[in-house]
Amino acid sequence: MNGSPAEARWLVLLLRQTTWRHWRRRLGSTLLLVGILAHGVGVFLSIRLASRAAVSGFSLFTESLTGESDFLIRPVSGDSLPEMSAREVRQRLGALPVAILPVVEATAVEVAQTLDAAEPGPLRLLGADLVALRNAAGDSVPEVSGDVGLGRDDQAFVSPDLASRHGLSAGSVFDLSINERRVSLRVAGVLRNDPLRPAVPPHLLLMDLPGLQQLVGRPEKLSRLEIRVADGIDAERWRREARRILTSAASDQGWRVETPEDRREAVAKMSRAFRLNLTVLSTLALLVGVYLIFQALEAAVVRRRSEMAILRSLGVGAGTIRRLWLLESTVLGILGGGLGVWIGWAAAQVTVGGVARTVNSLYHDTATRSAALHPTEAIFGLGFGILASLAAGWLPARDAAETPPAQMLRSGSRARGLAWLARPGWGVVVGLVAFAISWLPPWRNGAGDGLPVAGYASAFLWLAALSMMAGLLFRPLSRWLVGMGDRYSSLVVAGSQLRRPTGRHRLAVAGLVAATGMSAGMGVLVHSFEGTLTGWIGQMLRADLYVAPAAANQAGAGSVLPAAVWRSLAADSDVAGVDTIRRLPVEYGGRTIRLAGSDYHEDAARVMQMRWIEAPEPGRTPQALRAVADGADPPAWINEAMSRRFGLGRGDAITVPTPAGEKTLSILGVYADYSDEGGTVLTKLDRVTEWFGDDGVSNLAAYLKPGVNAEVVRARWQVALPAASIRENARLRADALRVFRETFAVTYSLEAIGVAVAVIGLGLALASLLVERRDELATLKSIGFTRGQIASAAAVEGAVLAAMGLVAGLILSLVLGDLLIRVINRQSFGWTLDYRVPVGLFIGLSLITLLTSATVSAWVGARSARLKGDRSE
Amino acid sequence: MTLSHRLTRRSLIAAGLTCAFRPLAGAERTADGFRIPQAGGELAFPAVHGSHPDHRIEWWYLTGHLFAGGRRFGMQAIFFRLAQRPVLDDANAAFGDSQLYLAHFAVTDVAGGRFLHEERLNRQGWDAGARVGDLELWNGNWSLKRLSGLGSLEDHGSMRLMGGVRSEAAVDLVLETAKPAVRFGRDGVSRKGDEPAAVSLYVTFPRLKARGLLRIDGRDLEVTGSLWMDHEVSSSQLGREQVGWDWVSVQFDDGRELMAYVLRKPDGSPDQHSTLAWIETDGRVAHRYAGEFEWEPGGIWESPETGGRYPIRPRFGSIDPTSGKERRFSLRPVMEAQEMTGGLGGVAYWEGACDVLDEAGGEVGRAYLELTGYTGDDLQKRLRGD
Amino acid sequence: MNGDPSLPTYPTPGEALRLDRVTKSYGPRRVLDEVSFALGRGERVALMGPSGAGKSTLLNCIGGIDRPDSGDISVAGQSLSRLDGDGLSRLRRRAVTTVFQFFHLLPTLTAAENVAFPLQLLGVDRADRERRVAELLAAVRVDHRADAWPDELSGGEMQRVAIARALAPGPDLVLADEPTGNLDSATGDAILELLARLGDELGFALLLVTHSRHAAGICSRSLHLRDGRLCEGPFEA
Repeated sequence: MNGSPAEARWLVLLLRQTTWRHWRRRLGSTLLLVGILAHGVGVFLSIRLASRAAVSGFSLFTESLTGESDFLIRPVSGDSLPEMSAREVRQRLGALPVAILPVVEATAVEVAQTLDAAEPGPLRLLGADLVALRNAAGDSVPEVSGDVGLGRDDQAFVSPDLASRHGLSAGSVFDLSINERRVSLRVAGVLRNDPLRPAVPPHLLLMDLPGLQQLVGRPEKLSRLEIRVADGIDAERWRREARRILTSAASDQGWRVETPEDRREAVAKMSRAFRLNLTVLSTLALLVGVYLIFQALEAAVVRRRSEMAILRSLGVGAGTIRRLWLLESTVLGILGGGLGVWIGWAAAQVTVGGVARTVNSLYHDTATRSAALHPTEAIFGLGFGILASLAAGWLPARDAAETPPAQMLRSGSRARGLAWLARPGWGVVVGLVAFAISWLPPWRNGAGDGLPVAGYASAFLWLAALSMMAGLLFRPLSRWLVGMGDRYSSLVVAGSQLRRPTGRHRLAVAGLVAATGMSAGMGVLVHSFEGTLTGWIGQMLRADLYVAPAAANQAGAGSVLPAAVWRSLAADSDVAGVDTIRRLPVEYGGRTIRLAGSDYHEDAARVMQMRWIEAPEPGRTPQALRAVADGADPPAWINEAMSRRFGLGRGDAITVPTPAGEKTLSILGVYADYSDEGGTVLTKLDRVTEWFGDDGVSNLAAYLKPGVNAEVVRARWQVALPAASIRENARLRADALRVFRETFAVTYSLEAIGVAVAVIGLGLALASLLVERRDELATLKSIGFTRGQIASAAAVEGAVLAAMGLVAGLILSLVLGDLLIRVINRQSFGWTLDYRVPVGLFIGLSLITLLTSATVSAWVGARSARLKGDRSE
Repeated sequence: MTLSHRLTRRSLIAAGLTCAFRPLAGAERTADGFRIPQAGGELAFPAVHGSHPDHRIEWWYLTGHLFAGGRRFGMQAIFFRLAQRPVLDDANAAFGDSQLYLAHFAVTDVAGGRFLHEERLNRQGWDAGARVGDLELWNGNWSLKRLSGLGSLEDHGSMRLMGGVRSEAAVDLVLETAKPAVRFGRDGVSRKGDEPAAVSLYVTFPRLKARGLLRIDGRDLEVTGSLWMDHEVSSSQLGREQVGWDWVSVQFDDGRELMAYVLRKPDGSPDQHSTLAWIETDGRVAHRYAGEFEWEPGGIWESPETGGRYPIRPRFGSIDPTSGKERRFSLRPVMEAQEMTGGLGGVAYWEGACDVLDEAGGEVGRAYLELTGYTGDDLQKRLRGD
Repeated sequence: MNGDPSLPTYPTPGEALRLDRVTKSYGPRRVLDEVSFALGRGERVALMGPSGAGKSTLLNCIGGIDRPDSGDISVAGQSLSRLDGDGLSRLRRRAVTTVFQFFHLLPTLTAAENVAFPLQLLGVDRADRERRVAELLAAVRVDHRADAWPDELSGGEMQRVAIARALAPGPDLVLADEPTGNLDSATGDAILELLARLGDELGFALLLVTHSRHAAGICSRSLHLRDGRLCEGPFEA
């Protein structure tokens, strides 16, 4: 019979005549089921799409005009190449048919009313040779002349998106702030979208290269060179040749030669740990979806038990029944997965903003504002939905297939559940294993990225362990309940059920353990993070005013406060002193880190107030250092991420490239830094200024003289620097925490989902239990039990199950929190956090779970009390 | 005279760089300050081969025939300089705007039946330029540079041409003068129209012996051959009543050469400034002006890409200055499809390698033929567009 | 049994059922003790006995739901001990069908669909199936309720539909387990009369489990099961 055409016919017959009709009759529950699955798939997919978009959002803007380059040449340190690099590259490549496209990039901020002030997003200024660009891009690049665009620092071509949003057309004038300078640009023209090329990025302004150099005050500097080998039969050969030549010249020239693919990978790598964490979290959303579907399918099996029995007595085999249920799961999976893909795409449009903001603030520039539904992701989401649904349907299908024919069916026959859950003692063993493997080191790839594989494995083992151990509570709790029964007969009834728990009871508790454990565990992580961060911010942010260039909330963007600007602020009569810091990207160990310069080293008292992972030795105070002869290696501190990623610590030396040659720094200490997970080397500002030949700074913190009103000074400065971000201490603290909360916003929604799932799952489980016990209920009614008493017995049973799940779940959350903080975050981000238990959250979570569980259980009990003794519907 | 004139205009318009063309009668400069080539001027060497940025328009124009074993190729390399103002005040800037440099490269693969071509436009700066005082030109990876000699029109010398078409074909040739350079026109200037400024300094190497590598089909071929190089400098070549022209350069097997251009008026008749010139084996030039030679268009080929109808098989005749006899020749293109379709410049023209046949139909030499203004009224519109 | 999807035919001559020293124990308790008997084609036999005498176990063994510890059961000449689980499922699909005390109609199927269902399992084509269902519903006299859902039917109607469903595959043997146990006496009588009439018309053998002598009245003889042992005999007054 297996797999025979006859069986296929039966499956169709059974699907049509039984399953389908049940679905139609209980349309609400069916839709709920599909909805739950769709939600799981949707959350999972949206986070994947959003993080994918946030990463792929990093693309070279020029690609939209010229298509993809074969290579990029970027500086190995700092953010600019000298102009003559272009000629150098041409000379080295000789007669190879290669287009070399120099590019300057800058950011600007929209100001004034011409542009929509409500959403002052950063604008990307792209400077390219508008004459040469036409050789590669043809008519998608506008024609220029001396009057229109060519060499002009007061004209720009704007993206169609920008033009339509702000009603710009050729000749319009609009205001921008660039490097704290307000400038007016005239629209030279509107870029056109060519259907055959990538769309023009929405925030793009295109200028002739020398014009932009002049505008941003970086004469003779380039951001990068894009290299494209001409098409043709020899293209591959010339590409190899060009790569060989450029690579061999790279170290002499201070170049980094990359393919766009290298670049994308590097960028993706930077934020991989962050995205992995998001993915794991989103997988949890799918898992709780699986749990709910499992409960719902179990409930359906129980409801349709007698139908299965009749089918069996009519000669339908067990295998057919099992396949029927698996088929039902698959169909649910397709429906839920399909809907989920759509929901995921829609949600990703919302999520992507948050993820992009986080990725921006932590890692790199991304221009992404929308997430595309990649076909492979859609298939992935759908496949995941089907798999999840099949996994959820596995046990119910087994239960259904084990239904005996109607002759043998006894009312009250019960599902087996998962055998291992019935062995709580083994939970202790699993827990010990979980504890042991949490101490394994992270798996590291070549670039030093840690993946806390063991940490995640340990988390899942702990979940299993505590789900099993929760079973230890059945006996004492039931004994206590029955003991209380002298006064309340409902308690006896409830307690007697728990005295001999069924597989379903154990599964319900396990589900609660998982859901509450996850929710509360996330709470522990977020609370610890927040506590640590608040403390750190308090230590770090002591100045009165903080000044950053416009559009500086993007990591790595080359915007600086020019020397003239920050020196004038430092010289303000209300200012007692300033701290400045300059950050520049440099290549180290195959990835981009930040070399920073500050004058913090100068003040011993403040140095020791910093949060240290490895504090400088007392003897190596700044005063002592200043006495070190000029020939010695300059001092540096590194942040924790740098230390963990590259295995560096106090006493080590580190050599970094600079435009002034390679510099070796001696590491004095490792400090905590929750603003960067890529790695930062912090040294003296004067050295950085000297090496990079640039005396701008990335931020300035001003300490005001006593009695000066910070708000007054802020307002005064803001008038002078309209686009700069000037924040008072309290405001900056609030902003920092807001960024943090946005980053973790997704975890809050997961917490809410966790509680909802726990309660709905419990309700479904209890409903199934009561259906299975309908004969008992009939008996209870016949001996005078009221509907109310049945409801209260169910409420007690549900509440006790919830309490068991909560106890084990909260223990699980403490363990998960520890894993997240001690293992996973440290290994993947390189951040040490203080462990803090969110007591309030625990109490709130417990109360909500217990109350809603009891309420839902009572409602289920009251409904079940109406069941007739032996009819299934 | 070449089509570059029109392309120049086109490029100027393409870049929106309009300029006034009204010269002052008898003046040394145009109204906007560009120098006008003067009759009888003395030439300085090798500076005359280099760039003249005080003139508006300048080009170095190489065409010729290459051979590798039994395979035959035509090739064309053109470097234009188009001034935006009469001074080169940004010679050291990486991204200047005083000059634009347009260049074309084409290879005709006779056996493969392919016509490969590419064009590019760059600004004065790091990737394109022309040296003042000596012959050195570069535009992206294409370049032409004097190697030796050329101290006078008669002086022997050599230069190197590097270039190619995308990653399909590449050439690296050493060119040696096989004959003295010549200076076309009366009193050392070549007049193209009635306006006083419509004159050019027109110096030509009628026969350059080429030797080097041609890379095509992914293989390096050792090639030898013979090229023709025009170098023409002016500030206005535009005759107002001209819609296009036919131009030919012929290298006869007997060691002589011939150059002719016919400027066409709107009614199709030749303009009076049309010219034919014989170059004797010793380098002496005999000019024939309108009325002194015949030119008969013929053999229409219609371009499938642009729809242009080109008379690619013209006949022409003139009194041979050596023999004093009337000679008649006809051109037979090695391939029909040798059209520059003008993706960047926007104006299409036909420029191709031909064989030269005498009255008896015998092969007596090789030629490069140029045909412009055949793609409808597009060219005229653009010409009058300013 | 073969999977021949043609319209089932009614029994050929020979024995419908033979039990040979069938023994079954649950733990130490011997529920069936060397039970042997046979039913001829078309014969109706009542199986009586007190609760716990082993009646249900015996029916389960005959229906292939349970297996005896020893002894052999043959239905229409086919020995059950040689069939695997699938074989037993096929047996229930065609040769041995059951009428239950609680009817056990599929709740999502109409009366007609319930009757048609076993035929669909056998792969009978639609036209034959519809004709057969109409005949059967007419025979059990519920053709006017063909499109009703089970929960819209009265007890008697449900049992009539259940009988029609049991007869649909053309079984050799019908097991009826207290078919009137859940019906009032008038309805029960009608059901018994129906079973007898159809038995005469269609020629299936009937093993009727009942407590009621009255019910046993439609049978030609009765078997008494007491403590797992069989004693055959005439009705005791």
